[in-house]
Amino acid sequence: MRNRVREQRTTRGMSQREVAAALGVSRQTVIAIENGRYSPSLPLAFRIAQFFGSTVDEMFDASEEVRT
Amino acid sequence: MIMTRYPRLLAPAVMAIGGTVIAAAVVIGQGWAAAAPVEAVTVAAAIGYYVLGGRGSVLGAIVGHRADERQESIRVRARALAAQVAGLAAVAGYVIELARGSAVWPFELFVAVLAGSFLAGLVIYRAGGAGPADGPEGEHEERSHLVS
Repeated sequence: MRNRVREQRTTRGMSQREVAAALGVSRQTVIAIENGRYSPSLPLAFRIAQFFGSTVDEMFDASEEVRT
Repeated sequence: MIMTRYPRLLAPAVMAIGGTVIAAAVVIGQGWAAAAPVEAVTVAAAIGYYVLGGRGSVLGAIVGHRADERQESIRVRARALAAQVAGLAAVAGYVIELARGSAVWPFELFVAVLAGSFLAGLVIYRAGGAGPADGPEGEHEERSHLVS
């Protein structure tokens, strides 16, 4: 699933470690989400959206699959 | 109490207790000399597990009981795979021992426990599942429940 986590994070000048700590997940999980290798649960997706002051709809695009 | 405060201790503690129970069985069956290496391996494995649980890797997070949702899903899938492999190994052992004319009850017991726990899992997790459907279908389902 394509998402804007990396874009939002870099815009704010934050590291993956900082975002991970704020969301209560590991850095590897933030990396996996950014690379589209892991689709977060609905609660985590809401936490991500809230953290970046956005909506789930804006953060995640289910119509676009990331090619790995 | 201690385990909730120090979750990293949980896996090593379970390993140490399990290994000590096995060592105690070896003491009863074969004496202290045979049990000493079993206990030594148990202690070494428990220490190794504790050290592994402190590492920053996915494996470390899982072993250290501080996995997030992605790591937890990895753990659940790994457990499911291990159970499937163990079930297949038990069936293979059952067939081999059957062909050899040896006692097969340990394999039967293992497969029965595996199948029973699988069915128990279906019942337990279904109980907290979807609930009744909304709309006309839901009404129909609720009526069906009342009839049965």
